[in-house]
Formats: sequence, structure tokens, C-alpha cells
Amino acid sequence: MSEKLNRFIRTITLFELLKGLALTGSVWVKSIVTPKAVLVTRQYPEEKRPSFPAFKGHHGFLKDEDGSLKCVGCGICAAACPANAIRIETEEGLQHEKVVTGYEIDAFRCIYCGLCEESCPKDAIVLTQLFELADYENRERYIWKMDRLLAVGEKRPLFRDEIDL
Amino acid sequence: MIVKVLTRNFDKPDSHTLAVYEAGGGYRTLRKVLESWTPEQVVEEVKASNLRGRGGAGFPTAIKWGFVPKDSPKPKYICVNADEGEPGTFKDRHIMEQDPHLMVEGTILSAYAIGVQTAYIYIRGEFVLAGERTEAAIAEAYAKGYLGENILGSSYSLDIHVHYGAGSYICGEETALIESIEGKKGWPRVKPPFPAVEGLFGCPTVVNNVETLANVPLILDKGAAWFAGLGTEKSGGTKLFTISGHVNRPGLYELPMGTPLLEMIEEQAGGVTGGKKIKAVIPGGASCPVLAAHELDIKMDFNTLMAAGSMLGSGGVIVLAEGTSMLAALLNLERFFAHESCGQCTPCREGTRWIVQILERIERGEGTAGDPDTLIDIAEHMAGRTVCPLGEAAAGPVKSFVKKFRDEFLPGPGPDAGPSGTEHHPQVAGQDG
Amino acid sequence: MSGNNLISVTVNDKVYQVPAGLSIIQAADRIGVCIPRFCYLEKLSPLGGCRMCLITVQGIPKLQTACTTPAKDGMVVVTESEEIDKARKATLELQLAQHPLDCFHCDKATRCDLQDLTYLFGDIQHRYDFPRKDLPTLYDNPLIERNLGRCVHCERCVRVCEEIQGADAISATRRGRPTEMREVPGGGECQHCGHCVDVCPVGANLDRLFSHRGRPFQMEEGLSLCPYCGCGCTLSLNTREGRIMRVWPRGDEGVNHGSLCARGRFGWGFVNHPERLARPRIKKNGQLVEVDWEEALLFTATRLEKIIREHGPQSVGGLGSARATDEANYLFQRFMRCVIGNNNIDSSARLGYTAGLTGRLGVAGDVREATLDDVRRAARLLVIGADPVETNPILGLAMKAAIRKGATVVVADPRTTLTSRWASQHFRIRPGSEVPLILALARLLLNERELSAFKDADLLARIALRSEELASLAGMLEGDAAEQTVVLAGRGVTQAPYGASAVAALLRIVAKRGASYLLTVDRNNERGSCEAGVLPDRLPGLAPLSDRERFEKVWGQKVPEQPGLSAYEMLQAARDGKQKAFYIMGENPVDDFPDTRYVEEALSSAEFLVVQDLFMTPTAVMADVILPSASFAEKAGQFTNLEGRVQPYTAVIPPVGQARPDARILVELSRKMGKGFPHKNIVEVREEMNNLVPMKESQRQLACNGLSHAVPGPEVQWGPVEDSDFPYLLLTTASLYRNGAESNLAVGLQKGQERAALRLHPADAQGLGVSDGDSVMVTSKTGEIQVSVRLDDEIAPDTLQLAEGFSDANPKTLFGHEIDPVTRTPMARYVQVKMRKL
Repeated sequence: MSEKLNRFIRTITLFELLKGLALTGSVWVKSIVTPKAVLVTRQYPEEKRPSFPAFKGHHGFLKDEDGSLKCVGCGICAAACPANAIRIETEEGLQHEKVVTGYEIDAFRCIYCGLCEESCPKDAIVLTQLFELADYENRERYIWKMDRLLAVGEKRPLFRDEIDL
Repeated sequence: MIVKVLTRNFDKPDSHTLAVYEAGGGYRTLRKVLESWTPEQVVEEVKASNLRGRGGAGFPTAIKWGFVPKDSPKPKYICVNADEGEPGTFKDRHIMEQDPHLMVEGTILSAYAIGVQTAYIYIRGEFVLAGERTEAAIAEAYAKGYLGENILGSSYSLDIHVHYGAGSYICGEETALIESIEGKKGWPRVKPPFPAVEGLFGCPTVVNNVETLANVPLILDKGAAWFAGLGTEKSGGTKLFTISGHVNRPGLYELPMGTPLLEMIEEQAGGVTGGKKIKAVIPGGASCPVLAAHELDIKMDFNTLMAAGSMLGSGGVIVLAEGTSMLAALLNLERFFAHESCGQCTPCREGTRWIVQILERIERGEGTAGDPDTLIDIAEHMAGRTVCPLGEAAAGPVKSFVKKFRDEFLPGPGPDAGPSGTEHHPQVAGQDG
Repeated sequence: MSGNNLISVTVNDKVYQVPAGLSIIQAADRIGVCIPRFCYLEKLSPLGGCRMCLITVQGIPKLQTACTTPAKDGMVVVTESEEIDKARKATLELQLAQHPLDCFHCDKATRCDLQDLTYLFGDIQHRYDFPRKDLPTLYDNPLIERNLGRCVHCERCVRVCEEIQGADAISATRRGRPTEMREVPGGGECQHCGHCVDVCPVGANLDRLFSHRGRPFQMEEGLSLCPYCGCGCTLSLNTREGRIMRVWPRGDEGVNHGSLCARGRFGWGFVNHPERLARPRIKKNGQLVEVDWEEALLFTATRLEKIIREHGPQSVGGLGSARATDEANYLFQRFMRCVIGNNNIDSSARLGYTAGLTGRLGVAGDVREATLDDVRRAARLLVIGADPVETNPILGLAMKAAIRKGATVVVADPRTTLTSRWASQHFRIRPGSEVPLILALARLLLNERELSAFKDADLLARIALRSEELASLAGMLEGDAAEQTVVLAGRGVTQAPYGASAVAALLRIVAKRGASYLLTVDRNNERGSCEAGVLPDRLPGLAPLSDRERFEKVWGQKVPEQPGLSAYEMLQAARDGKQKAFYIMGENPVDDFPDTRYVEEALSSAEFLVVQDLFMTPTAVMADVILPSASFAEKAGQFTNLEGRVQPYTAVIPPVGQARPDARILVELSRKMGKGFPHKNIVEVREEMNNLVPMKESQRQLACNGLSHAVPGPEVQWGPVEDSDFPYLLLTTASLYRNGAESNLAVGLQKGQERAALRLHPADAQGLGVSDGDSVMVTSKTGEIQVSVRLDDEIAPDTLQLAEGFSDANPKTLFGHEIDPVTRTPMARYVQVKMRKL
């Protein structure tokens, strides 16, 4: 047959399409019949692996043994942050001490470099292993305030379902 | 050999009164000088006598007088430094208590030489008897016409005011003394300008020690050559040595310049208590570097002591016997300096406190091997870097004690360790800041 | 020491030419060689105590302090060597040894000299290992924290308080290491100027309003001008996200050369105050309701047009602003003249400044006006009826600087003021006799025929001076030193009857003797508002109405020919039913004008009241429309200070809420009324204004317009009349802590002084049975106020003194509303009162 006729028949019968489908189909069948142990794709979220200990995930704010914030409001983290993600508010307390009244991390700005953790002289902020940061709701949810940071700092969850944020 | 030149009246009953002073020939010199000497002649005579300041610095007196600008339109002042605060020194007090007129006559003659119309005597606040007797002597002098307008019918007038200190060693430093008379707190001034050019109330001022001025009537009476001959080549006259410490007969001894130190201790002061050997001697008051046992064969005058790395200072000889803890002695001295530091300049204010803290730590047995070097380092930063000589005064003992008795400042009990047993100065930082 | 006199100094092997008379550190600063220091500051006397500036001078064995050693011709100086380096590091080691090292929460961090020097030197040893002693932090002062532990004993605070501010509030107490720089009982009273905070190299003296509220790198800085008194000081505002956090001076800049007073430094709290008006309001059914700008402007325009249609253009009056910028005032008067169509324009400058202006306008030729620097250099200062230390504190500092250089200051004033306490001589003249005093001086020094009607003895008796005292006052203006004599006059003269005549006479004396003068100015733009044309009888640049053609050309509108009503004439017209509406911009007549009840009644007689302001002042409460305006920090413009110096500045923060700059509101309102101004921005306003009026020369353009100043005859009643029902005489003063309604809302100034204090002599207090702090009721013929008492044995007996400006006790309530026929200024210097204990 001529080239033209050949091409015409292939087009009419959707030959290329069927060829592609056949490949897909055969892989699909293979995946059903192959035992799970041989498959390489991890079926997240049914199967989860925790991140490694040095992973820089969700920030956590820490407290001392007596329950007070380790943070003294020095602002070094905010100064060190290359993305301007940290906003600190401080005030004078009743004993004329420096009191941290507000601490916010803009999760969208943050690049998870960990310079805040490195620079903190009081080891008050750490980046934990929590890597599941996605949220459904609105943008305001992504300004992480002190209460959230303290909760993460206390629990040090590996996965999101360990903590109610 | 004891010589009774300055102290010639001391043993007489009522020696502090005008009557006794005049009976011994007092104010005769004043009359003679006002009648027939010019001020310049007085200065020349004192210069030829090799009189050097007796307050501690040993500066030639006539040269100090010469710094006063002759043609200044401002009034000139003389301040008599009777703030005797140097630990181990108690000579000026005896002059004021037992022969105040000698000081007064010396002041008038010196004021005449410089061209001063108003003199101040700055007396340490604690010297109650000395102050009373000085004031009484001045009143007697006014009454007899030795002070006030047209003294003894001459054209020279002089007023003397007595001003009392309020418990501060630093006010013995000449510019701090001037500040105190001006009613301000006793913080020494940065020099230059020197008091001779800009002193009390911004006017040319000479500050002289009591003993220095007490020598002047005798010089003008018996002549410069006589006075110079009493002493050594570079230091004329006698010196009032106040010997204290571990000696059998502590006290005031007038001896010619150049008297050997050991002779002073053995003969005049009756030797060391308990017959012990001498461990160290502080030759001229607390701020002078200490002399160790092998350095004591020395004649006492300004130049010889300077050559030996110490100072004649005020002549306050403190004898430390074998068995004395040098650590305790130094701690005692440094507590004093830290307490008396005025606080104006960083090296002295912080350095003295730190030195005391280190010494206290060594005393508690918690010293470290690096402490002696640290002490010397701090002392070296204080010496020559401060506003006034208190810095040097506090640094000198540290350097000399630590260098010459180093093992007493290392960890572990030293050969003669023991508590300093000194009065506690609560203001010195360490505990209470 | 002339600047031409140069000497040769070798520094680090290079030869430099420097002016003679400098110390080594000053020479080094000028040639750019860095010598570290703690205690040295150019404006203070050198101390030589910190020992950081030690350098080597060839020929002198010991290291010398560069700050105390004069640089001499041929001197060879070395500022960098191993020995010097060792000394510097040792000094730093010692300073760090006693410093608490709490940089994490110290507010000075990143602006701290100790930090900077430590970083600069790097390899300093830190052998001190004893526990650092914690000295206490003192919180007795409500505005300044004194952290004694951080003190490096540089003594700058002690020196600045003594040498620049002259308050002597801080002393170095105790001795040695425990020395504490602190306020002591029996020492001087802190005036909260904040100099000690500025000069402190570390965090030992700190601003408590700011305490712990942020880090320097979290804030932005923008320059602005102080909104309070007439000095016009340059401020640096530290802001964060549109809010002011702190105020301090910027280096040596501005007329204030780095100094501030309590108001400028601590009085910024009204700007971001929660009570700031954020939205326009209209009175509906007796209640002020928030609306949007469109509605407010339209409503205002419609009502004004209606009133003009029904009652004529003369029925609207405008009070422009002694606070607003020159441009806003310029637009205001253009609005009143072109859009409304009258000359009924005035401001609170009428309370004194305009009288001085009227006086000046009546004197032909040049009269030298002093600048603040002239005052600093003056050899003699004559102060009549003025209290510069409290009305214009930076002018007061200039006066104090002159005194330190040996100037003689003579004060003629019936009150005991902060200024009179500084004077070499204080003549306590009879209250109300400032004008007779000047006339007496004029008679002595000018020999003018008109004054011959006065008999010497009469005049002297009225003033309560002896002839030799008058002669010594006159002597201040005689002789060769007259060129360095500055005459300061204030409201004692301008608020008196015939005040303008007195000012004119005074200026004639000043001109004849070659001296110079300065009038104190209470509000930041009193002078600028007048020079911008906010006057019923003057156009911008103080041009007379007869000169209106060139303005009409630019404005495209006719300017009414007849002079308009001044402030009190407007108020009277309202009471008489002739004035129907008021447009009040940036003024608060209910609080600031004498005779509170009169003012309130006048304003409530008007049909329509528009108030444009920052807060709900007592005047705003009465308004039918409130237009929120932007504060000084939120807009651009220029102010003219008491020297006549024009200072433009820009906005630092965005307007609070929906507030708008005054100039913008006026432009939009003009558009709503159909005669819109063409300006698109403030620069265009300024250009138009400057083209019509070169402000700086407005003084020189003054033509003597033949104002013949009426000379009062001897029959004029000067001073109070004895009245047994009202036996005490109340004199008003100013206060360092108040200036206008907004100052009452600034928390910093409330902390400085919370409430008004009536000063009286202890003998009078005893007679009444009151002691310090008790409350009394003070009553005059016009009104009464309740106030607490403060005893002061320097006050004259039977006299009371009360500072203006405190919202809890307003002396203006006690005054009447009588005005001078020429200047139309209310006579409000003194009032007779009675008192009873509460």
C-alpha cells in the first residue's frame, strides 16, 4: 500500500492512540499483579516516612524548665532572616523586663534556611521535622503566631496528624 | 644620727604656742626677710639649699615656685597640703600638733617669695587636734601682726584660711585638693594645665607639703649652704622619717638625708620585734615599690631610692618582718587604693577593683597560675595611663610585690600565708560593688 | 581664634594644616584620623577620664589624652602604635569587665559605642571572670531610665545636664568604682529634655517611653519639624509600620543643633493616639455621625453656599492655623478671599504675635532681627515680659549658652519664671507695666516728643522701679556693646494695651542702638500663618490689601477691598447675629482664647460650624461638620519659625485613618464650591506661594505704611485695679510640658507633669489654710476653675501663677474678652481672682 493510504488508515482507526493505551494498560495490569514489596512508589499518604532529624521544617518555639519562654526578644533572628519573614513585637513588662508580646513567622516568606535557629543566642527557636505544612483555609493561616509555634515546639510532631493546628 | 632641726621644739612643753616658738627664735627670720630680702632672693636661697618636696614627689621646691608666671594679672595662691593620707606617714600631723608656727612662718615666707596674698591650709578632716592647734596658731599670728595687712609694718599682706577635708585620700593630690577648696568634688584635673599656671579659681597656684614649708624658715635663717650640707649632694636638709611596722620603737625620727636604711631600723627604731629578720621594707609610704631583704643596704635619699627602683616618697618606712604574708600586705594596700580611687578614669577605677578581687581569690585558695601575670598586666595598664598619680601609686606595690615575692601569689599556700586580717572596706567591689 | 590662623601638625607621619586653638582630638576629627573615645563629646568640656583617646605626643614620655591636649604648631602626634593599641584594648577590657553584657535586651544595642569599639578592636582579652556586679536600675524618673550597671563613667550625662541644659539634675555620687550618676534629692530638677539619653554612649540612660519596644533595625527614621513651639526644631522620628515609636534629634542638625526639650522629645504620643479623628463626621439629629469624605465635603460646600446666598459673603468667618503649614494657611486665606469672598481671616496669632507684627510694621527701615545663633553669641540680653526658657526652650538654651560665655541677662517681668531664675538681675515690675517700662526706656533713649507727656516719677511709680534701676536697664542698650545686645520681648508686651506701640518704640530703640531683637513665639507656625496671609488686613507676604492686584491676577478672582474682622470681632459678630458660619482650621478657640464662656456662646450662636482638626477638642465638640486633618508627621509642607526661617519638610508616616492634609482638604472643598484651586500637589502650592511672596524677604518688603502708633497718655490704666472682692492677682506662664490640646494627650508629657499646678507663696497658703497639693477653687468675674496648689517661696505675695495649656485647669476661663483697639489682641496677662480651699 502507499504511504498515504497507510497514514489514512492509521488515522481513521486511531492506531497511535490504541498503541499508547496498550502500553498504559499493560503497565496497569502489571501493577495490579505485581506484589507490593516489588513496587518502588511509596503510597503517600497511606505510607509515610518521617523526615530526617536535621530536616528544616515547621518552626518551634521553646520554653525553659520553669515554663518561661527562652526567647528574650533580642531580634537577632529577625535581623538574620534573609527573607524578612520574622516580625517581633516587644514591650516593657511589669518588672521593667523585656516581654515578647508578639512573634510571627510569615510562612510564605520563609525559605527554611534555618539562619534564625543558628543565630538565636538562647536556642529559643528550632526548625522541627514537621514537613506537612499545607493548609486549606485562607492566607491568614500562613502567618504563624506564637501560640502555634509554641505548640509545635512542645510537641515536635513528625506528622501533621499528631498535632491540632 | 638624730638631728633636731625641724623637730627642735617638739619636746618643749606647750611647744605649739607662740610664746614658746618666739622664745626659740621664731618669726625672727620673717622680720629679717621682710625688712631686707626681696622675693627673688628668697627663691634663690631656697634653690641653693636643694630643698625638695616632702610630700612624696621630691620635686625641687624653688623650681616649682619658678613655674608661676611673674607677670600674670591674676592673683596667686599657695595651698599647704596638710591632707597627710599616705599610709605609713604621720609627720605633718606632728608638725601641726607640736610646732604649728613653724608651718605658719614657712607659709608666710614662701607666700612672700611667690607673691601670694591669700594662702589656704588644707587639713585632713580627721586631724582634729592638728586643726585646732593650727587655727589657734594662726589666730595668735594675726594678733601679733605676723599675718594680715602690712605684716610687721612692711608692705606685704597675707591672709591664711584653713579648709578641712572630708575623708578622701585623693584630696591630697594637688589638683583634687584645689577642686575641693573650690567646693567641688575631689576629682583630680588633667595636667596640663599645671596649677602653677591655672590652679585655684583658675589662677596661678603652688601646692606645697607641710614639711617642705616648715624647712623654709630654717633655710632663710641659717643659710642654704648649711641646709644643703645637712643632707646629700642632690637632696638638702633633714627628713622626718616615720617608721612603723614590725619594729620595737615605731615613731617619728628626724634624720639627715642619706641616712642608711638599716641604721634607721636597727638603731633608731630599735630593731625588728621578736628579733626576727627583715623580710621587706616599704621605704616611703604605701605607694613606693617594696624593697626585698637583699636590697636594704641603701642610703635614704631621693636619688638613691629612685636608682634602686623605688622612691623616698613621704619617708614613711614600713618594716615587714619574716613571716609576714606579702599577699595579705598587698591586699591591705590595694583595698585602700580601691576604696580611695576617685573613679574618674577607667584604669584606676576598674583596675584597683579587679586587683583586689584577684588577691582575695588567691587568699581564699582559689588562685590560678596565670594570676601573677594578670596582676602585673593590670598594674602596667594603670601606671602612666591615669589622670593622676594614684594610678601609679596603686600599681607600684602590685608590680614590686608580685615580681619580688612571686610564689606567694601562685596557687597553693605560700611560705607565710595567713589571713589579711585587715579592716573590711565594704565599698570595695568584690562583694558589694 | 580666627579660622584663618592655621598651624602645622604632623599626625602619623603626615603633615596637616589645622585651625589654631583645637585640641588634638578635634584636629584629628577634622582631618579624618580616627581616635576612639567614650567621654569626649565636642559640645561638652573635655574630661580626659575614659582614657580611650590616649595618643603619643613626641617629646612627652607618657601617653596623653587627645581630648585635653591642645594641638600646637609643629607638634608631632602618633595615633596608631603597638603601645597605643595595647592601651586601648586594656581600657576596653576593663570597661567590659564591669559591664553587664545584656545586649540581648538592652535598647541601645546596635547604637552602642561600647559594642562598636569592641567589634572594632576585635582581639581584646576577656580575663575577668568574677561575677559581674549588678547595680540597680533607677526608675524614679518617669521618662528616663538610669541603668547604673551599664554606666561606663564617661560623665557625659552630668556634664550635659550642667553645661548645656543648666538643670544640674544629675550628679556623680559616691566615689571610686561605686560612683553612680544619678539624680539626688536637693539637686536640680530634671526638665526631661533627654540630653542625657542622647549623649550616653551605652544603655545607661534610656528613653522610658520607648523602653523595650523594638530594635533600631526594625524602625525607619525620618526627619520632621517639631509641632509645638515657635523654635522649629528638627526632629528625627523613629517609626515602625506607620507608627511613631520614638523621637530624638539628628546629629547637630537644625536650629536646635541636636538639642530638644520635653515637648519635642516626649510629646509625640498624640500622633498615633487612639482618639485621633479618623473619619469625617456630620451632626445629624444632634449627634456627630461618621460619614465619608464625599458626603462631608459636599455637605460643607452646600451649606456654605446657602449661607453666602442668604446672608452675603461677609457672614462667614475663618480661623486659620498657627499650627498648620505655610501652604495650608496660604490656601486657607485664598479660600476665604476667593471662594467665600471676604477678609474675615484670623488665627490664634491674634493672641499676641500680631500685635508684635503690627508694631514692627510701623517702624521704617531695617531693624536687625536676631537668630538663635545671635542669641548664643550675645554679650547682653534684655528680656521684657517674656519667658523664653519655658515658651521656647531651645531659645532658652541659646540664652544659657550666652550666659556661660559671660553674657549678662536682665529680666523685667512681674512673674517669677524659669527665665528670671537664670537672670543676672530680675526686676520684678508691677503686673501690666511692661508697656510703661518700654515707654520709659524710649523716653530715656530716644527723646521723642510724644513721650514728654509722661512725668518720670509717674512712670516709675507705675512700673515699680527706682530711677537707678531704670537707668541700669537703659544701660543694657548703651555703649559699644549694644551691637551684641539682643532684646527679647514676649506676650507681656504684645498682650498689653498699646502693645503695638510699645513694640514699635522698642524696635526704634533697637534700631537706633544697632542692637537686635527677637519676639518669642508660642506656636510652631504663628509667624508663618501671618506671613502666608492669614490676617484680616494683610495678604500673603504681609502685603497690604491695596496691593491685591497681583494676587488677583494669579488667583483669577477679585479680592475684597475692605479689611475683614479679627478673631474677637468675628466672635462678637456671631453673638450679634451677623456672623452665621465659622470655618475653623487647626484652632481650638474654646480652650485657647481668653473668656471661655464668651467663646462658647459665640460659636454656638453661629448656624454652621466646620472644624478641621486632629482631635475632638472642646471646639470640635460644638461643630456641625468635623474634617479630620493629618498631623505634622503625616504631611509635607513648610513652617516658618520665630526667626523667620522657612523650613520645608516631608511626610514620615501615612495619615491616620482617613485623615487628610489640610491643603488637600481645602483644594477639594474649593472644587466642590465651583471655584476649584488648580494645584495637584503641595509643590505646586509652594511654587505659587513663593512666586507671589518670597518668604525670606517678606520682612524686608515691609513698607512703613504710616501706621501712626497711638501713644497712650498718662491717664491710661496700666495694670490691675484693686478689688477687695478679688484680692489675688493671677498671672499666666507657659509650661515645659504643655503647648496646645494635643500636648495633653501625649503620654510622655503627662508623665512629665500630670496636672496643672497653681503656684502661690507659702505665706498666702498659710492664710488660706492650704498646703502643697491641696485643691482650691479660683474664681474671677468671668469664671472659675479648680486646681491644685504648689507652694513656691519665690512668687510675689498676693500673686498667683498658673501655666497655660493644662486641660484640667484652664486659666483662660478666668479672663475677660476685652481687646486692644489697635491690635485687637485680647488683654490676657493678669486677672483678679479670689480663692477658697476645697
